[in-house]
Amino acid sequence: MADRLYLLDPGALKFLALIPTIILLYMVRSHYRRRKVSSIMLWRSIRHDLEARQQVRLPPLSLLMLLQLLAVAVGAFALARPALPAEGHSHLVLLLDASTSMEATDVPPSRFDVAVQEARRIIQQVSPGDEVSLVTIGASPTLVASGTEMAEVLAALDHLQPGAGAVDVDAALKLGESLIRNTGGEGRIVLLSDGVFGQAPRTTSVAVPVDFEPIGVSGDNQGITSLEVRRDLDGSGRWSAFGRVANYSGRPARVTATATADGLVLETRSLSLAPRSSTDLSFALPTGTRFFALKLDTHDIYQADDWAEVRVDTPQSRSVLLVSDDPDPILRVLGSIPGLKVSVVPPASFKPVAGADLVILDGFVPPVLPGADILIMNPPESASGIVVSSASGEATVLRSERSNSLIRSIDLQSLRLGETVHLQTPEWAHTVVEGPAGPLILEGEESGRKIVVLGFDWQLFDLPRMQAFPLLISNAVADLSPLSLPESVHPGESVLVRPVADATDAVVEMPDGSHVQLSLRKGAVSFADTARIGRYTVHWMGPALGEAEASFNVNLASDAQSDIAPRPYSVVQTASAKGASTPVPGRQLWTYLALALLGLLAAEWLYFSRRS
Amino acid sequence: MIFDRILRRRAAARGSSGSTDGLRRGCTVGLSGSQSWDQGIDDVFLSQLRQVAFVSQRKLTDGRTGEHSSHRRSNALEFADYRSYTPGDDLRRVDWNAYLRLDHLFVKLADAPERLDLHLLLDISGSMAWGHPDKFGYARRLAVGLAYVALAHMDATNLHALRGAHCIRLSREESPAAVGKLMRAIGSVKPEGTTDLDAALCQYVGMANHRGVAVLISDLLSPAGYQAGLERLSQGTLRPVVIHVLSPEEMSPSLEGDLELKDVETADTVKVSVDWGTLVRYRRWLQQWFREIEQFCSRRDITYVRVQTSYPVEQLLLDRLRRERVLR
Repeated sequence: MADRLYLLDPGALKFLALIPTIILLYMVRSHYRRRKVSSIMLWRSIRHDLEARQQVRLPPLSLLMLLQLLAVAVGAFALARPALPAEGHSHLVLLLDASTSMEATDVPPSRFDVAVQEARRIIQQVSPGDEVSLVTIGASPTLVASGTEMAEVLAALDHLQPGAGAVDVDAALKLGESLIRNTGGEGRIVLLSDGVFGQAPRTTSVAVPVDFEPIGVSGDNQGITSLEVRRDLDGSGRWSAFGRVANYSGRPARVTATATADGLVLETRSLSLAPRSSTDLSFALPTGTRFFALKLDTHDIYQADDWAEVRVDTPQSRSVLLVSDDPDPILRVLGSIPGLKVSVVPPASFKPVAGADLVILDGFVPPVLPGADILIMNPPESASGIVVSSASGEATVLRSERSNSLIRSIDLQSLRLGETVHLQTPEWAHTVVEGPAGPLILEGEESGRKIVVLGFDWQLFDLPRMQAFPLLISNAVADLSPLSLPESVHPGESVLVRPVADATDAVVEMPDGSHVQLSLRKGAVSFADTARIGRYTVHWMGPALGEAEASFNVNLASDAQSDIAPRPYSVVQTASAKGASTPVPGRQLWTYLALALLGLLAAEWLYFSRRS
Repeated sequence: MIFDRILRRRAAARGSSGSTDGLRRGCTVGLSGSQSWDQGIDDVFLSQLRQVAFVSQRKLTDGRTGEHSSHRRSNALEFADYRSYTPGDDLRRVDWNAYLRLDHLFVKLADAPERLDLHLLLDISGSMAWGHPDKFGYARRLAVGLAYVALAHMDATNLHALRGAHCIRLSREESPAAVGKLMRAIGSVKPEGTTDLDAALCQYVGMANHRGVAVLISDLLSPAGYQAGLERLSQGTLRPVVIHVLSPEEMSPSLEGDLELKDVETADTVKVSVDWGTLVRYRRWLQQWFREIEQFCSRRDITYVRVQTSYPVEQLLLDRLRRERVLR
């Protein structure tokens, strides 16, 4: 193996196509050059042979042609950068698909267990001295174990669990490739997967050999692909739940759907599902329902999508601190938003630690921004880092982020703003609305808190009397709600847990009853341990806060996640990876070939000049 | 030697001081062109040539005295044998001591040193002017060398040029003093046209009853052939010697590609596509041609010497021709 030659850039071999071109040029008869000889008598004996080839002739055995062909061949080979492989042991990288679909039981006991067994078998066949790396493919790839001690790697296999929703197989392949390259040996990647990644994988080009070991045999599954709750539009304040149940099997299926509200059975329906079809369900929720769940009784191979639960959002109490010299217009707007406890302080008596969920700074920015979410309105020129200078004159909206929730339902074209300030965009912010002189509304996140900046003086023009003002304030307050946890996420997706008031810690209660503690002293924390399906409850704890809690659910509830029929996965491998070994560049030989090419060209020139 | 003195005298008459320069300038007198075909003919070369002479294998002379041992017995000084006295014999050759001892008259016999005739037959066809160095320049230097060898040993030198179907007699020199004249004659001819070796040699043989050594210097590229001419040459009393002069380009042509080859003699053309294989076949054919010539000459007791123009003339004269038993 060690004496094998690898081409680092085999695409350059396309220059070999010049060889037939050169031969063709030699076959095409050119004009005859005149030469005097002492006597053509010497040539007469072989003349017949020569004349017979005048119409159609084979490529002549010309030294010049041979030199040219050799030069092209050597040049193409040099450009292909041949290299000898570096010395080193083989490196096997096992990529184990840990997506939720690997929990399917079409191959007993489950796809994941079968994959683990397969991995165990492969590891046991590895030659002594070779290195093995075990990587699980989740939302991001995780290197579980690596080394030459097979016992450690085998032990690590025992602790693996599936549970990621959409998995990033491309990142895992890249990680595998870099692991092999970094250890400087030959190697290959073995991908143990059912090919269901929850998202369309990108076309990844990998320069090492990849073997795809398919796991699973069947896609016989029925599941909940969507579940959400919405407030009824009739203004009654009641809520309804909407769900969708799909059958991915090639046969008709009968399933029983049981709806529960806060654990109490609400309704049981028997559903007949045609092959590869889906049906929509709706349920009216009793008043005061906090959690709605839907459960399917099926006999399919995949249980993870047979249950889903969603939180019914009831208005929550949030404390808002308004710092303003003229708080009345804003107070009127805030008063119309339910669930807010507003306290007002003048700028002069503002203290950084105020224990509010949201701080609204009107015409005032303290030197040190408070720790909660902040809405800054009309910042003064002294607000360094945000304001450049004041500017007068009417401003109109030039550009805006149409999809941004801050300007939801606001007719920006009708806005006529009076005096504005020149805002500059800090690193943590982006422009939501832009006027001719610069940004008008900024939004961003810094140290775990969200900040919205309105760069105009609302008192100087008729904004308060327009509908846009309460909408803008309402949107900003809704957007800056610190307790807002998502109602439902997919397995493996991260959830941002932000500090509430003076909370310094938070504890997440997992679906299996275990607890995970989060420290919020440095701001928001991204909670990513969401592999298990079920309800997660976040408890905030602080000296003055007591305890506040909110919850979110992890549901599979996805069309892509429930369609678990095994499918092939092909990796684009570079030409050099198609061999059995990895071209880890050792000693490159192109310099020698370049010298040989130079010699050939010199010989060709010498020969040509001598001949002519 | 007289030859040297003549050349030196000529050189001195032109105001030259160096003996070699004078000699060389003397050699170039009367040459038709500015080609320095006589380059290399200097004192050292000529002094080396004086050490060799033609080998006489047949009855050579017609009775005139020369420096070559003859098969005929004469009454010259070099004792060879006795014979009985017959009336009319020169009494000065009677061995009186033997008469006193044996009471019988014996006449002392001796080898008669005889003169050898060198016949230089120079092919002056156009093909001889071809090659680097050109074959004719080489042939001229060779002819001068051979003539010098002959004249230095008091042999007669006949110079003939073969052109067309004719044999043109350029000069006959018997005296070493006439070497300059002979050189002018050699230098005055230009190689051009074609030569029918057969016809020209037959004409030469028919001109007179020649004796001695006939040296043909030619490339043998005669479209009409050479066999009949050499056949006639070998049938006479002459000892024929063929010096086959070829240029390195003819032996190993550096041609390649699609070519229209033009014969410098006949202006005929032939279109050829020359590649490696063609050159291999050419060389194979050339070797076959050489074998044919060698066999032809061998069967007719003709001395055949093939030489390339890259081979030094000095080495040919002092070494190769001695090994071929042409010179000694």
